[in-house]
Amino acid sequence: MEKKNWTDQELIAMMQSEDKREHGFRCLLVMYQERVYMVIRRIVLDHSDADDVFQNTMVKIFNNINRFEMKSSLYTWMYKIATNEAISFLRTQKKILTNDGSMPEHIAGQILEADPYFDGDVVQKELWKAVASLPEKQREVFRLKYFEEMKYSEMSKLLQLTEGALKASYFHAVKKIEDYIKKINI
Amino acid sequence: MNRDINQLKKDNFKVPEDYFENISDKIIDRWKESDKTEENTTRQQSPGKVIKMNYSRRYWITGLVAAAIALLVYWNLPGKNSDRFDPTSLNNEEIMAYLNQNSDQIDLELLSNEVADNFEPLNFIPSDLNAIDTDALYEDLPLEDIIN
Repeated sequence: MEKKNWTDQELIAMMQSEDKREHGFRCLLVMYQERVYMVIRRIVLDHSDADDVFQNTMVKIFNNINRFEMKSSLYTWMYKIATNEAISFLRTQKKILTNDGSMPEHIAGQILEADPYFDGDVVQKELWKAVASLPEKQREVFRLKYFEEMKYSEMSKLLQLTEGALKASYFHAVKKIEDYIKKINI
Repeated sequence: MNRDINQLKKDNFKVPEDYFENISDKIIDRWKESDKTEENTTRQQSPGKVIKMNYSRRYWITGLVAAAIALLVYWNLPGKNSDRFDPTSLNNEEIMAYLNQNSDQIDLELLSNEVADNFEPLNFIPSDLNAIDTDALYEDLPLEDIIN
């Protein structure tokens, strides 16, 4: 299917109509699958886990599309479901998150080590270990700013936090990561 | 060594070849499957919408209904009200004689509970207290505050 920039309204209209539903879902996948997959992958780290969570997430999105009330953008809604699914997968199935929602560095290291689809050098592996070990909210802010290059104003709507709080959170996250990398001296 | 983390930004996460080309069909199949399961579950539940009541709840409700019927029948029996005991028909001598004979059998706790249950707290307010703001009686104020 050719990639086209459908608007949220066009996609919703297709997905909520009886005869165009499947076509609408396919269009949604074409438009957003890589972005949603990456949100999940950056949380669970491993491709095989990300694949499971991604499929579950998309099925849940399809099954609940009638509940989407257009109060936010379609991507924001999907982002929240995807994040929730990924974190709950790590928390309940893998049981590898600590109380503050961070992943211990050595576990992140093991996951990346075992994943054939992780393509990073030693420094990048350490960067990911440092990111994984951030508390949940700080990690989310860092991911959105650093990897998705999201504006603070957009992030503020998504996470329901003030821009000041987001900037402070990002600053702390960067500081921790830089300190971590400095400490391991690579 | 000090590193600028912005220089480390790189897309390290890869996917198998043609992953995104093939995943759509897989997801659509899974959605259809889950949709079918959901439809079947709804269809199985819909006829008659029988909601099972657990046994203890059923017995409770049956008991309450039976008790309500029994009370209605009892109070409406012909001549029932005329048989009722009238405490004002007893004179003081009869009461004193009863208490003297049975004082060892009187359960003081039961008696005090009876008094407490039947005591009407506002009865002691004299009827000529028209000046009292009656709304104040509904508030939790000390009696002195209301009277003064």
